[in-house]
Amino acid sequence: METNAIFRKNYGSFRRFFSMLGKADLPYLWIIGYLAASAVIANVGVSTTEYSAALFAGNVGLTAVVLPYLFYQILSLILGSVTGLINNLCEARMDRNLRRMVWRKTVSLPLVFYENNNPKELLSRITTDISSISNLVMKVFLPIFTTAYASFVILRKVSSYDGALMWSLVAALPVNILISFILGRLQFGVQDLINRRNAELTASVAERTNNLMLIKSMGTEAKEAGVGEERMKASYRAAGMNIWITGLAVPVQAIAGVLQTIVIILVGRGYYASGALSLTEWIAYYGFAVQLTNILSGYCGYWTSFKRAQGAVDRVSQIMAERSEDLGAGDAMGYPAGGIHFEKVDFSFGSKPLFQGLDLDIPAGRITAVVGPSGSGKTTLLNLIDRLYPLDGGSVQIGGKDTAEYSLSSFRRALGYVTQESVMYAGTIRDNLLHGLGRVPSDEELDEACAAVGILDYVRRQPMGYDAPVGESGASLSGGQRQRFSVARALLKKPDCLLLDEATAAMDIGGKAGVWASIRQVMAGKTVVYVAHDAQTIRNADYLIVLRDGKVQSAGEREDVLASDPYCREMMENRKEER
Amino acid sequence: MKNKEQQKGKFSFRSYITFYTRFPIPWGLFIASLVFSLINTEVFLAISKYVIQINKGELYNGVIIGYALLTVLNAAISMGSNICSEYGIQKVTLRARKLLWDKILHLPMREVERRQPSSLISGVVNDITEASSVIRVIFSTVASIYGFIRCCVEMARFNAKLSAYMLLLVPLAIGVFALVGQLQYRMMLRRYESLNTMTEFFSEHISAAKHVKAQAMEDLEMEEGLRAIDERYRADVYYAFMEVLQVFSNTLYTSIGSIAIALFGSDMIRKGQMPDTGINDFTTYKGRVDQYQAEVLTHYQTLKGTQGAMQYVGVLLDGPEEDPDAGYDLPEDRTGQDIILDRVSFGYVPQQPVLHDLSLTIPAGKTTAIIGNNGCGKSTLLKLLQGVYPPDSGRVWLGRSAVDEVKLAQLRRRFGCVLQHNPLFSGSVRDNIAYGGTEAVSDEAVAGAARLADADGFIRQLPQGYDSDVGMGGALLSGGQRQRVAIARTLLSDPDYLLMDEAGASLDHKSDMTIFRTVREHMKGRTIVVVAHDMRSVMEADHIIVLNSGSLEAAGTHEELLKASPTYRTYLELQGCALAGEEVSR
Repeated sequence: METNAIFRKNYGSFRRFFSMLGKADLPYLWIIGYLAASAVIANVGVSTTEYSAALFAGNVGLTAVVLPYLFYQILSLILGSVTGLINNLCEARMDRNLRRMVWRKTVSLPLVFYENNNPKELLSRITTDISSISNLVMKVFLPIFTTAYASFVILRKVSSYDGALMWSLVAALPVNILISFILGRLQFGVQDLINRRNAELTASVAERTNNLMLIKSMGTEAKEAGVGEERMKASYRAAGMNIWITGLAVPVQAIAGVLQTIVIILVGRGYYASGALSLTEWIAYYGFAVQLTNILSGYCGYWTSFKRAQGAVDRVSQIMAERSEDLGAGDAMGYPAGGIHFEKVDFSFGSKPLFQGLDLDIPAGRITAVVGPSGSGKTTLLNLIDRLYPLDGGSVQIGGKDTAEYSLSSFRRALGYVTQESVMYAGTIRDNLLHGLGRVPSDEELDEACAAVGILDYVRRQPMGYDAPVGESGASLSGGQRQRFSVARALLKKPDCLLLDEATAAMDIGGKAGVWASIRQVMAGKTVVYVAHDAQTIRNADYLIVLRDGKVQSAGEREDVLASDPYCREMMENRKEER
Repeated sequence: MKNKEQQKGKFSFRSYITFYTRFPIPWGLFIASLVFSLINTEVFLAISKYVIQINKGELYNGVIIGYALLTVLNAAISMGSNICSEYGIQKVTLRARKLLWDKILHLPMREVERRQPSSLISGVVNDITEASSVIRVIFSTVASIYGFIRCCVEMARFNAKLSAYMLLLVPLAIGVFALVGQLQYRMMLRRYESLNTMTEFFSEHISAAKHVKAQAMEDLEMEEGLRAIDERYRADVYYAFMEVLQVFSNTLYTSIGSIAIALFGSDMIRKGQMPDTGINDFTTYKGRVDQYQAEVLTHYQTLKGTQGAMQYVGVLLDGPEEDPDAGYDLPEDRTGQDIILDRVSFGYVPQQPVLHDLSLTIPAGKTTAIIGNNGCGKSTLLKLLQGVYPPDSGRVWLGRSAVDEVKLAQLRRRFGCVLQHNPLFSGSVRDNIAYGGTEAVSDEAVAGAARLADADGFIRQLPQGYDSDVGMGGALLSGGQRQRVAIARTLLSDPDYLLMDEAGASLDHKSDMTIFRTVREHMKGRTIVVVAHDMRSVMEADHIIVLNSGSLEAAGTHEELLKASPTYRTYLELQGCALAGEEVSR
């Protein structure tokens, strides 16, 4: 039962693997070229071995042996390099094509997919997993053919000396192969343990090194030295185990090799003694037998990379099986005119319902704030307006028309959305402001946008101005600065409807006031919806919606709600007086 | 790796020698390994004799048995040699790693920020492994050189004239080696850079998925991603050609050797200067010589490759460190010590001071709030108080003790710190709350601190209560939960001075207020310093400091500042507190 289940699982992953390769647009011509070149090499190798055997045996006729030997030496040198090149290029192309395939798929997946998967893991899908899959194809699958053909060519040659000799050689081969296979598995297990221990060490060191400030302020240096030492010792112990296994593998392999050699020699000795083999043929036979053993046990060693790549194959083929979003289907969205209306909207995260029959109105052409305690569904509300999640029931309408009728891409483009994580990419300030804009504004327009969010002074202070690099993910900027650039980027797009999710949370008091004044000016007459949690920001709204546990607790003109809603009153109350 | 490339300087033995004097080296293991290797050279040569005989068709039982026994013996000895040297390496790695980790834990924060945590991490994980392997490489090089000489002697003994021809190939070997080394360096660099660029691109863009989706920028995203992939592909193609060139040069060298043997050897056989099967003998010896020669050259490459890692580790170990127990004792008296800044200036970059000639007093036993714009130096100020950064000029005093002269460990224990985002370490909730405790902390104390921080309730609802795992960096908890655990952790460490830097920003408004009040209640009579953007919290403070671009704009009570500080008044107005303020001032 148990084994059966495992078997089925393996079978399933094989099928997924091949169906994934089917989609991948593999470099078939290159693969064929590689296989062909390998076949030629196998034949040249046989001739090289025969002529060098003749040389070894003392047949030194210049034209009969020496010159052909030289010819084959040079030929195999050139062919070997060519095959190596084709092999490398083939792997590089395979890497590229698989990566393109996964990236195309990943980009088209809905937001939920990204939320359910760790970004670091998704990253390794595209980088390391792809490499191990191409490696699997090049080192395990294609060599099935090349190894089989090379063995065939060698055995054919040996059988041309004597058919029975060939068969006894075939009979002797499995011993060594079996042993390499077992050793390969064993070493794979230990290597896995070492990798796990090292990963633990790295994780533990990274967690602490990134937070040295905490250790210093807690004064726990000595304690952490101890914790680190334990991890290091665990790594050391795993390495120790590997030392013994790798160490013992050497004599075990040697014994297996020697046994095999003895069998090979004993088999050949009879034929040689009886004169069925000449000295040259004996030397060639012996050379072939050694080569054959090396080819086959080498191949078995690679089987461990199948084990290693299996996880990668599973993960990548799972991504390929995900459902993409259809961005193009539906009407083109022009100008999002009119108010936003939620009609009996149901939405849940997995089995946890958030909105049940939510009815809600957001007035057109005004600034609306959505407030409420954490977990009340504020961000989700914005995501639903921008159609980042599919609804479970009900509809969201703009100007009376169901938003589901518009195509996703035209709809999302018509709305501006500044998300909570102010996104910056490695590149210059200009690159970031222009990202996804689709037009190249003049420096004056950029100045205007930056002035509106109060960051123009900062840009001016940079020696390279707009061409100053911001570092990976904007690392050289503070949180407040990143938010300012994000808002500036959204304003440059001149959206007709703007959604902001805590877009000014990291700004200082003066900064917030300035940015909101600008938003009011630039977005005059257009719809703005924003999520906020501090008293200052809420005061910039015309209209207020208070959410609690997925329900509308209050909605109305700002002053009315501020005065009547208990949540708002508590937030606005003056504590100085209360004391 | 990055550092390695940057620091590809000249080869200095000094850095190697200093590195290996820092900790005990298991000499016995390395010497044993060397002795095994030297013995094995002889076994190896003896095996060669049998191989030659087998190749000549001299298939006597004695030959077969001798070959078999020696091959097994050779394997057993090399096992011994490998195990000894590997254990040596692992011991060295462990010792060096401990040393480096201890050093990193004691690095001054400025050093940590300058060097980047990621490079420190790879220092402990990767660079140290490379640096430790050097000693084995040196021992192996000795063994390989011995083997090379021994085999050369044997080869010359068999046929001196042909061996002399082989000597002519030595310049070729060196040329090929130099070329291969150059290619290797360029290939690895290009490959490393392209991998880095691609990883950076995808790591940035995958985390920004929501931004991309929200603007429907999939097309642009796709295009840029494909460009990043193609960039990597071009590097792979370059690598493909270079690697083949490398292999070609290496094979060319051995092929030229074989061809030379075939030409000269066959000639000598025809002239009767060498026995008929002499090419067999000679090729076997030549093979051994090549093998040892390759070993020597590889070792040299490896040694050169470790140069960067060695330098990085060496510079780090030689660099400055904090001694938590150096200096005067802080007075035992735990109350009533004002914090005084006396003309303090500080900047992260020369000529760009963050704090400028700042003098102020934070009164003991009271709550002080610090306000000001982004980048005015509030958070930097808090770090100066704990002696995390030394001021460029001026001094910070704790009563009559200068912060730079007292024992750092004692000083920092007096301070507790809660920031906007507080890291947790993977482990149980309980371990995290009890983190700062020097000896075992009772369950009651942990639960008590959790109650103060309003964390007890949610912790009890976790599947395993206080034993629940918080995940890497606390990832399994929500932002608000992490914050509460962090506050409990700080309260349990029982500080005299509590520093709170935007501690409430990730809590919702109501919990922020509740916790803030409980904490103040608990810390009654002790000193609290709060950095906040929420003026309602600020108004509650006993003393308020307004910073403006690293200088003191005003300090005093709420009432005093209403009169003295225009910035303060503006802030109150912007947050809708002006009305209350006017009432008070009236």
